[in-house]
Amino acid sequence: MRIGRLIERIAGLVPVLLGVSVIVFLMITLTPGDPVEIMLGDSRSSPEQEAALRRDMGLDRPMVERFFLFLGNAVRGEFGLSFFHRRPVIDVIGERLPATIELTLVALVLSLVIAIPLGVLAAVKKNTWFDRIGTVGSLLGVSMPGFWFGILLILLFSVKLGWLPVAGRIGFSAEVPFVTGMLLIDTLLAGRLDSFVEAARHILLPALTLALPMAAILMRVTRSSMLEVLRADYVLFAEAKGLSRARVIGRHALKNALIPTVTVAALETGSLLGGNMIVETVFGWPGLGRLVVEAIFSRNYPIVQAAVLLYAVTYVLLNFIADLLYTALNPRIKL
Amino acid sequence: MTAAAGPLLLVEGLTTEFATRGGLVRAVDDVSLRVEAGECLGVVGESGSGKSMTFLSVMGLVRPPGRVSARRLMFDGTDVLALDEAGKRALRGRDIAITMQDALTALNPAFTVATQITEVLIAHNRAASMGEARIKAEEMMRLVGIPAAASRLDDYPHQFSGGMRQRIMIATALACRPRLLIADEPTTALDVTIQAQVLDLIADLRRELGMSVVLITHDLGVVAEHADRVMVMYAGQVVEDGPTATIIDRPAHPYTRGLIDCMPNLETLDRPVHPIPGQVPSPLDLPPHCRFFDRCERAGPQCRVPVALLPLSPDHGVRCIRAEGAAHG
Amino acid sequence: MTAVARLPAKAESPFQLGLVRLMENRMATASGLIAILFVLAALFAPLVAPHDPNDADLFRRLQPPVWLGGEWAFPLGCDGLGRDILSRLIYGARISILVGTLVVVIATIVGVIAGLAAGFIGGWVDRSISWLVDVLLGFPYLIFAIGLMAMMGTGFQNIVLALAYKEWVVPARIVRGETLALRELEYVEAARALGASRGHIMLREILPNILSPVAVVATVRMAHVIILEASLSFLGLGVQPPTASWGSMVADGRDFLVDAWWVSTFPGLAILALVMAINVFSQGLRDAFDPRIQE
Repeated sequence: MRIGRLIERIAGLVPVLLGVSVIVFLMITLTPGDPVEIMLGDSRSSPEQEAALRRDMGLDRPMVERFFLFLGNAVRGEFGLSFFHRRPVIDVIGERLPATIELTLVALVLSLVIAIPLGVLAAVKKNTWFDRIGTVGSLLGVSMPGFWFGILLILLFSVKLGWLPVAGRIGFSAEVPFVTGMLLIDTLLAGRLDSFVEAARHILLPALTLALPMAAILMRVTRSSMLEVLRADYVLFAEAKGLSRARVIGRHALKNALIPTVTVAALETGSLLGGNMIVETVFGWPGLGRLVVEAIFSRNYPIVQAAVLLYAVTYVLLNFIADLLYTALNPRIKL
Repeated sequence: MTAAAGPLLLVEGLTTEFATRGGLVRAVDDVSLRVEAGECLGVVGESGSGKSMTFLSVMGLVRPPGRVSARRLMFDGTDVLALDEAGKRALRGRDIAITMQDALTALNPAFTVATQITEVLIAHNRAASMGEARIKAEEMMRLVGIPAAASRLDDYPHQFSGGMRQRIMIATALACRPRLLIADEPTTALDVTIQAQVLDLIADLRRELGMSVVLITHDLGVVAEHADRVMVMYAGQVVEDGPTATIIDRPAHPYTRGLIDCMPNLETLDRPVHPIPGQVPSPLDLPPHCRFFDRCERAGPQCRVPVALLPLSPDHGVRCIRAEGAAHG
Repeated sequence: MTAVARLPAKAESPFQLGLVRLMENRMATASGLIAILFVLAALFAPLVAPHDPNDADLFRRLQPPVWLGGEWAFPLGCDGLGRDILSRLIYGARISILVGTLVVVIATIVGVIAGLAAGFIGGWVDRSISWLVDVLLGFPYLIFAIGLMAMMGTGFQNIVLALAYKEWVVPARIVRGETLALRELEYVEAARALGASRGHIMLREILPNILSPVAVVATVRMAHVIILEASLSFLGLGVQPPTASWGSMVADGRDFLVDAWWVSTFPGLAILALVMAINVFSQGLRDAFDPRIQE
């Protein structure tokens, strides 16, 4: 029965994913300008070549047919050629993806590490100066434009203090063999501690920039769920059992208070995806987000199309996971 | 742990106050009580009468903005007021245990019952290892009558029925074999058929473990059956206390009498039940005189004075200036 | 003046009570005033701004703010083309506030209509609107906006459209939920039993009751939209130069981080101040008008 519910929920994703692909398809299809001309750019080509390309791309067929062609290809991971890179779109994206995943994961971890202790402390020390500073801090966090925060960090830590690199992923000297494409992991696998530190120094500021709004939201969520849990009977009962305060708060209260935090974290990981473009642009981080921004300016639409679809599908799946997590973490609700 | 002469629990002048937006609320007002070793004290009152808050205060479980003060608070000869936080914590769960109204909310939904029982044992050094703690936890679960206890150790609270959950909460409270159990409305959350079972269980365990029990309830019937002595609370004050038989047969306070009158009872089924008219006064707006004045059928002009708890006989106290006359007349 | 204040007190409506509560919240009132100041500066930019925002003069290139050796004529210094930063900030406020307001107003109108229709009519109307809402929620906001901007091209009108295309789902979802809850209530049932038309029930019975949550949400969303517009402008996908917008001003300053930090810093501060003021104000609004959410 539980598997039945799960399948039902997964089936519920299909119409949404279908709708998402329709929109991504329309976004590019309705773009003014002849895609063939855009693709060929200034390069000289004969009308025959153009016609051939048009046929290859299926541009001579009706729109509905082209959509299903696009959908079929997308499912197989085929998004055509990037003329600019002279390589398949999927390869270009695949090459940039690990950097973005790495940045997103580090930001996720950072925001949890910042938000949970601060949120718990703010709840336990409710209405003290610590709580008030925390409230102002989280308000700043949600109100801060990410690109500007990134620039402030660069200004302070890179330009003024010179502690951290201004941009990029790693110095050229630190070449390590490609395994996962995530440098923090690859450098460790290669046993290059110096390169690992170098990679960590590069990722710190962009990850912090990306993590800030999420940390602000998670801190609020943790604080309010912790406040609610601290009022619960089972916390009083745990105290009545003579348990230490650390155990009452750190185990009995926290395990319940974290259920909303984890759920919101899964949801907000989706919004980290949106922040990617900004942060990668500010810090010259060679990931998917910057690829999309570059692609828009070079009118490299196949890349834009594939990347937007990839982002959206990931986002839908993350929301789905958040939903499942909430159920899984809450022993009282069962699928 | 040596049993000193005198009562197991002795409370004098206990007062609990909360600073709220509307003003200072005195939830417990100058309450004195004692519980003898092995005795069962019934505490009766409507919700909001301060009966639960009294014993949360005794256990030191009142949170800010609540403030507790007392002239004396002795447990088994130890001056609790002189203990530091760690000392009070050591008493809780080990010597004084509490069970709450609803086990569904009192047991942590996120932990297995084994975790919740063993952690008390480990916190109070009653088990040297996790293995030993689990064996003791299983013993406790058998003692409170959980069928197939061994196989249910790693279940979560929501996997048990209401009655079984209540038993598990009792097992948790009694894991360290406390000297005093405070049972706060142990049956309110339960089906009628299960209520008697749980009360009998508490009575059996009391005998078996030789502990004292404070039975907090709004049901005088429960008290009549189980308690040796009764304390009736109204609007934060004790209005009457004495031996159960005396209180039930010859209640001296009009409020106690009202409670008895609205108790459905086999012999009096033909008689209509009389609910007490009116409402408990707001704790923010207590009258300076007798707090039962507005609801009392027999209130007269002479009742418009503050009333003290006065002895009618050596073991029977009442907070009503007309009580003596009533007793004589 | 006192006579006005002493008008006979009528029975206070929930709206009046909310207003009183809002006025008592000092942080919220102060934030509201700050936001109004921004709006006034934007409205009267030509009167308030000391210079033409596009008046470039390379002799004043990267001139520092007055307290760092600049001159009073250009209190916050000048940018890479020697344009007055203060004047550009004041004109930039127009873009932020106008985009924020337009997007939220359009989204609220569309969202309320869609939500009412979905919640009240139900059936296939509800299913299609809900599907569209779910699909749009499937896109990270900025990615959706960037994709649309790529398609439609840059420019003021397109920013408003790109953001509004997605923004309407927020009020729509809320209104749908509230409508579903309200239409089961007795007084709506009663109106229906008395033979009131659908349109009458929607407009007279349901709409007034959903206005306050919708208004509260609209203010929070405005803060959000302002950040999004700034982000798009920062990426170069917003209004095009030389029009001043805060996001593109921050972007302009990136090239001078080492010698002229003020170029990027002030526009960022402006965004932060306005967004924060709106957020605090909307929190105050929620506390005052939507007591359900209060602790």
